[in-house]
Amino acid sequence: MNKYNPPRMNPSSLRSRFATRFLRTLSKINAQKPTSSSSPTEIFRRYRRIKAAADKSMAYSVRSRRTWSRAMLWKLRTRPCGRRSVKTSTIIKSREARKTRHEKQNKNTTTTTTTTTGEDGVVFGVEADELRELVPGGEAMDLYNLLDETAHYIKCLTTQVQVMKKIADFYSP
Amino acid sequence: MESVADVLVKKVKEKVAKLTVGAPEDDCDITPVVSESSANFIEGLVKDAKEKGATFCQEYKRDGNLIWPLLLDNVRPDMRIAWEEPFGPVLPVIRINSIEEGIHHCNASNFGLQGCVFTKDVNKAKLISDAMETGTVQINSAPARGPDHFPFQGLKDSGIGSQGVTNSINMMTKIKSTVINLPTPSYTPCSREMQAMNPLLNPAQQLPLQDLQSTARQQIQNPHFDPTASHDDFLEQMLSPLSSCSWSDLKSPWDPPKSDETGPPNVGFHYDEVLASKLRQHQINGGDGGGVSSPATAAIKMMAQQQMMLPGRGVAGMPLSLGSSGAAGSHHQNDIIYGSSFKSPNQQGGEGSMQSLYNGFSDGSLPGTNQTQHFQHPQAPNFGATAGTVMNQSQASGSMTPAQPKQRVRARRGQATDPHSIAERLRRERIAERMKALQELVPNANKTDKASMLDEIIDYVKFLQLQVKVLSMSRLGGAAAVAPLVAEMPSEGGGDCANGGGSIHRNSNGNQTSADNDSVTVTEHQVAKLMEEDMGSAMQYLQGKGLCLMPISLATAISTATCHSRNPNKGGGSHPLLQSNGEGPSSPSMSVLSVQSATRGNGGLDGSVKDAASVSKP
Repeated sequence: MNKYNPPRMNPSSLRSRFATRFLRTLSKINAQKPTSSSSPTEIFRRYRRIKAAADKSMAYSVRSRRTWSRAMLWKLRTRPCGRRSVKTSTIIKSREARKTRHEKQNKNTTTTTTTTTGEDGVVFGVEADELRELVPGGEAMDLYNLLDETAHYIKCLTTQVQVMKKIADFYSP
Repeated sequence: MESVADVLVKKVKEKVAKLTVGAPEDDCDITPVVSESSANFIEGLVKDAKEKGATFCQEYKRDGNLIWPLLLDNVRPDMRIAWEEPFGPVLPVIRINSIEEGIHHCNASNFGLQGCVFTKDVNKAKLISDAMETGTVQINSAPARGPDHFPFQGLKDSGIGSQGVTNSINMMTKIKSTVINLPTPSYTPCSREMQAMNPLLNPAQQLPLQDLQSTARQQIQNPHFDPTASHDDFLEQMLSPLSSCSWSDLKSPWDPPKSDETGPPNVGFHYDEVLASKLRQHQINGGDGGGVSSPATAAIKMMAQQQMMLPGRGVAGMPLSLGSSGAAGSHHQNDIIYGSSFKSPNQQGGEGSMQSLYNGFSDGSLPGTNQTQHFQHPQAPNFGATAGTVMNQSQASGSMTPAQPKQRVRARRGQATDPHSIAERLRRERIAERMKALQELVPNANKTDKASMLDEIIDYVKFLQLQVKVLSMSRLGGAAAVAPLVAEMPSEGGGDCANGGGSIHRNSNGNQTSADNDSVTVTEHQVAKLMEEDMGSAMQYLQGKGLCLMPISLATAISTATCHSRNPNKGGGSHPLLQSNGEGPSSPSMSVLSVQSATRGNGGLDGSVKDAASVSKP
């Protein structure tokens, strides 16, 4: 279907949650920077901000149900203060602080990734590490949980891409 | 002999004259010997021969380590050169008058590595070579190493050991045996059945057929039984012949029963089935029940084992058949006789026979009475080898260690039961489950191999992350913004597809050397131009540069999809990027950037640390 429909299927679905949050953020960003400068620096900075906003929105939509969302939020939180990170809501902040503390503890206490043993051990060694790099928070998970997180992460990423694409379509002339 | 010698010497002299002497790089036949001491040694031999009156066919000539070839005739055994090998171009000729003299001279030496016989008469050749005391005799050839699968060895002082493919290996290996003594014997079929015999013995014989069946079925529902699938299979297989009364498969290894065996064999057959089922329960309950002493129990079990092995066999037929079926030891014959008499429904006789059976067994040096399974050990392999269908099933149903007092997980055929293996298996199953779930999420993922499946997943995650990046990039609009990103890719080493041309986030941080910019500029313009015009060709261009990373399936999907997309929009650089066909998640418009770059992990988040101010793009 070519018609653009705002995501209205389910008010509490991941898609709608993400969409609302992201749109809010985007409007904030646009409000902050009315002029789009042509210098690559500015462009990239904006890009970075938007991307962070997208990621954060996605992570917030998932709350802390998933390890990867927690890890992503933690990473976003602990970026250097020089950058202006986009916050979507202050209410979430306190909750987030608690989560990041928990996440930090998780990260500090967990040891290095377990080497997968058994007949799959050799096969999964390299790819599993690569996957761990990709999925946020993957370093601290064994293979089973990693695969679990990957599945959910893929689902969320596809949602994110869909919504962002629709938004872009809508806004482009 | 003299005639042969003269002719031989003459011919050799002619050949020697034709030899070229010089340095090896000149491809000469005769080259310097290995060292000065070797040359000195040869000279000593020659001088000794000269003193003792050998005939020099050539002049002895030496230049440093280079010695000219020399043929010495009329060498006598008292000269050194007749016994010591020169390791140089000196050839002594000893004239003999008979074959025996030659053999004698050959064997008189302390060395015996190689020998040669030149003759046209094959009989003589064999006789002579047999007489020669050397490691190898070459007939009609000079001494040589080989053929390689022959041992190369010498007698007497000529070396130790042997060379040659197998010989060398054998010479260098020593067999070492390792004996593993388990604390308890590993599972063997007879051990389990024997344990179950005891409680079944007394009541079972008196029961009519139907009761036997019902007890067997009750056993199945008994909660003690492990309700695993294999267990049920086993019982079903056991009981199905019971109900269908198909004898043939059970009796297949042996001769068909005689006609008079229809009566008792029926009882015996079902009896065995019940035994098997009760055995399992007994196994689970553990230990010996009933009022029979354990040695007798063991004996009974041995008999039951025998009986089970021959279901349907009559009383008379048992001893012979078992004896012929490979039971080892003469005492088995005694056992069988007792067993057959025991089979008759006579408990008293059974008891008595049990005792005598035990006595018979103890003669056979059985290990001890406390553990039935130890008891079974010496005879177990024999029975295991001759098991019938029922036995096979009972063997197949588990690898349990016998007499487990507590409930154990009943394993499937060929699987271990220890906790580690179980945990490992469980883990593998869970992972496989997860992989299947992932397979559904990732498009075009129909790989069965786990490794490639993971690769697909990884690529897809990268692709999605890249899409997000591109989309967030596109918020700002303009091909000009995107092109620098795109153009950075080729500079980062297009050959390496796996790591790609660098990630977007790295480019966004823009730590570019000036050298890169020059090469990049051209590509950038080209790509940007292509992007504005046609996504497909842009993608092809980048593909040609070796920057394609996507899984082939995705790439094909995109390439077909890009055919549809095109509204070349001059101003809106975002359009080529965002052109969506309104179809699903696989966005062809993202294809260009997603195709090229490899996002390094959570690039967006990591890269944010770096300052984007240092972007330098012409």
